[in-house]
Amino acid sequence: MAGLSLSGLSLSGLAPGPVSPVGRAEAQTLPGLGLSTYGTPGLIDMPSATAMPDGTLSSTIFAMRPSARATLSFQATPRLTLSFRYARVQEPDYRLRTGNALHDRSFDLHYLLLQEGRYAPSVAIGLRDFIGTGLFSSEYIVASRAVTPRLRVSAGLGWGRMATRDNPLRDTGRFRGEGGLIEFGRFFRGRPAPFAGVEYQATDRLTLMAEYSSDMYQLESTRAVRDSDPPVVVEPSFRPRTPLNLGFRYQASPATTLAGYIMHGTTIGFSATFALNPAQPAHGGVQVTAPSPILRRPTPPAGGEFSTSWAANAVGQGPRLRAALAPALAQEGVRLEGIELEPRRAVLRVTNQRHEVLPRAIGRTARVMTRALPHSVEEIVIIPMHGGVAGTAVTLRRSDLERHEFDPDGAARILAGARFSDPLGFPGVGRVWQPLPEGRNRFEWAIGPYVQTSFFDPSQPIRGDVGVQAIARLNAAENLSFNLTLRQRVFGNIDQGTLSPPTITDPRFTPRVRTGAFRYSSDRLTVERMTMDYTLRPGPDLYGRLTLGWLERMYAGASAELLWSPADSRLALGAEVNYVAQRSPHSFLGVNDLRIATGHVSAYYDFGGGFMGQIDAGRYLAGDVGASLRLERAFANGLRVGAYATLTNMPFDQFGEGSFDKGITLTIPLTSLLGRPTTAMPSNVLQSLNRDGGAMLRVPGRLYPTIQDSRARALRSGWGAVLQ
Amino acid sequence: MIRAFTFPRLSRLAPVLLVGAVALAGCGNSPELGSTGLNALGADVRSLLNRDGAEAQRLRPTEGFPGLDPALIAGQTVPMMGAYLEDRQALAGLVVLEAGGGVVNWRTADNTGLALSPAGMLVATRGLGADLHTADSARTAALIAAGQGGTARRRHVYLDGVYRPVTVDLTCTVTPAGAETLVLNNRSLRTIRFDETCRGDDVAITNRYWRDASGPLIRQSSQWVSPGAGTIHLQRLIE
Repeated sequence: MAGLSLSGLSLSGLAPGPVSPVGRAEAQTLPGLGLSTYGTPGLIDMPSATAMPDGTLSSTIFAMRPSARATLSFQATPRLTLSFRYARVQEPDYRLRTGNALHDRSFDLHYLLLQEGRYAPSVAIGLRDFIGTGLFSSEYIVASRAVTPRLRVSAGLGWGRMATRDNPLRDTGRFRGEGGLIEFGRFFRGRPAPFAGVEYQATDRLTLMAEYSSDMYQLESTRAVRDSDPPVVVEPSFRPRTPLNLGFRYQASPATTLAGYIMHGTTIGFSATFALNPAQPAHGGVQVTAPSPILRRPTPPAGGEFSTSWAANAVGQGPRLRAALAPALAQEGVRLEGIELEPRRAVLRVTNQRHEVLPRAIGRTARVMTRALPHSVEEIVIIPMHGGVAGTAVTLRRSDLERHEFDPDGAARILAGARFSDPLGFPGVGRVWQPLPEGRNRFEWAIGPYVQTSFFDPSQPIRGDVGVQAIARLNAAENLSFNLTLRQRVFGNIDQGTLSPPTITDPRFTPRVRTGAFRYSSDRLTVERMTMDYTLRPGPDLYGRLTLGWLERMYAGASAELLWSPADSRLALGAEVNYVAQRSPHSFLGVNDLRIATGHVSAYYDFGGGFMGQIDAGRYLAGDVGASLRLERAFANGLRVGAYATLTNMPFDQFGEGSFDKGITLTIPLTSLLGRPTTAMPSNVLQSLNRDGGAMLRVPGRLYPTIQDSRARALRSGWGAVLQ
Repeated sequence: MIRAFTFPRLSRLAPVLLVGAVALAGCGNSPELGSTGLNALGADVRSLLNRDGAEAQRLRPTEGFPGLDPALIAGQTVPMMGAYLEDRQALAGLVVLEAGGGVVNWRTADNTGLALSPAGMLVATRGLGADLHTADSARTAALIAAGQGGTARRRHVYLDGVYRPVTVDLTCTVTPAGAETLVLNNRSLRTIRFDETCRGDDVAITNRYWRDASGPLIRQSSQWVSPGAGTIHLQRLIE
């Protein structure tokens, strides 16, 4: 490769901002996503009958003295927009927390009933703040229509908070019990109020908006008398003068929109929206180095088959082959774990260390193999390893690779000839013992930073710890390791959390299994995890796991799991049992007297199109019995957006605020932000509140998440990357 | 979660991130163990640090069709090509990594790859980010080889952010634009220029080819890659 060092110059300067691969605009007349101050499809405060491009995840921050709200919206299907909002509202007398800022979570649902037709407008229906305590609680139906390519008008009817222009506030008693429930009976009740708006695209980047709002911020603008001794009159923070709102939106980049507003003739507001559309990669595409070219074999000799006579002399050549292949694969971000060479087949076990999408790692492995294998080897079997667990075996035909490298339908043609199967039975894949691969370190370690966050503490919505973490692993085998994670906080405030008042009085339930988790954060050196981790393959399509030790920050004990997951099936089933002791918050390794048996049976289902469902039923940490439902949309680049809810036999009043456990799960591949490949995928769970009901153990290495990327259906969904 | 969404383009954040670079870097003997998002960000900070000002100066083209510094070519004997990516003002030399199956794989020193037909039509790019996954321009190639004008269909395939192929079909007109003499690597070469103008649903592009007057080899060309990468200019410097 000496000839390559001709110039230090590179073609790959930092790419310009996100660019659609073909520059094709989505079917929207105006630029940008068109999100309101609520971060949902709309104008200013009012909705419009539009949607974001399918799969788009957006976050909108809106500030208007003295309120602010941050909204996360997801276009779950082409017509359905789901939003989660965290708002800070300052108003005089809200649920008697007089004069103080109120932090409130809310969920919205916006559904496009009709797409804009040749003559017909688009029509959408929506529920704003339909779960929870109902600060923004309102419902609407709205129609929108592009009058010219630059001008869109919208008009609709609003209920609830969106009917407060002419009506006196009719329903301040929308709150009942502990909140957190959907109360169908109150939707679309009372007299509705009309609203309307217009958007005009002034330039490529600038859109001007005006709307006649039906929300007069009545809660915020009501003068209140504090029911204290002596009574105090609290003046409103906001006095609307007119129903008219004016605003502009500026498309700063394809991903960023900035907007400014004059609200009700009295106050100005600002918003910023950042959007992530998985179909439109940041920087125009992932910047990944060019792969090894596929080496084409010569035409086979007259008999039509290549000779296999080399195999007789190949005894003992394994280590040499390994030594030659390992560095070439390492260049492609793939670690070689093992290779078994047969006259007409090669079986490789590899670990993907770089690529956010597994088929790219498989394609690159296969490319290197075309350059190294004897001519007679036609089948290339690649088994992706996930820790000690072997994922789906992918069998590729070498002649397909040779034929279709630059074929416009190349990936599809290679896929047509590919086979996906259970790796058990292939040489080199063990049932109960997977020896440590040659060249792998028996002792592995890493020191790096960590960030831990805690959301929605009543006194401070976001808390965090930052520190240094040391991870050490002793590999007895590839499927048996001893793991230690130590953490030393450098600074942070999670430990200053507030211990909510106890709600569990029923002796059937154990209190404080998750509430008070903040007490486990401190400035001391802590053992985050110290475990023995073992995985095995008890039989075809069956996976097993045994984890012993200090499993997570709050619990120590034993955890065993069995998973049935055929390589090419929509359905997988699992069961997990755990017996744990609660760790003492301020002890290095000690536990307190609490012993808990908990476990679940689980069903996982792939509905297609990336929609995944999961049901877990069993006994939760507090001894409550019930089930969790999880729905998630997974994209081939690793982006995952989901929501879950858990209902158990714990009554809502025992559960406390929120009534039952529910939340949002997000996994964001760093590749989509950085524009270069990495397997790093930070994930976050936004729980409505960390309560004791419906709480699960957080065991590291659960089986389904470990192997889900190498299920055949997941591989097919990202298969386009195989020749990338 | 907000943290993850509020990143503007990383390049603009560089000064801020530099402060945290040391803390973020991390160390260890196992890439998997340390693989938190923070470490990955740390790596990006380091790669930004490596882009020094001197390099940026050399990337700036002078005027017209920029060429490689003759000093870089002097004394080389392997086949070489100069490439200039207009939108990024990036210039590189490429050599042949491998040829076969009707495709020649060219590489830069930092593993950016261009796949060309033996005559010099762009087939694919890798490592640019906004890559041309593959292109079928057989008809245009045939017209140019025959020295004729005419219409041709051209098909480009790109991958979207979730690796689905996005096909762009283009209808092109190839026009011979007369003889031109090029000076490449101190050699004076007689060529015939061909202009290819293409239209698709949302794109209109123009490619240019300077074919050797007495053979099929395209000595110089300007070929469109993608909306994100723009047009690439290629010069065959050493055969």
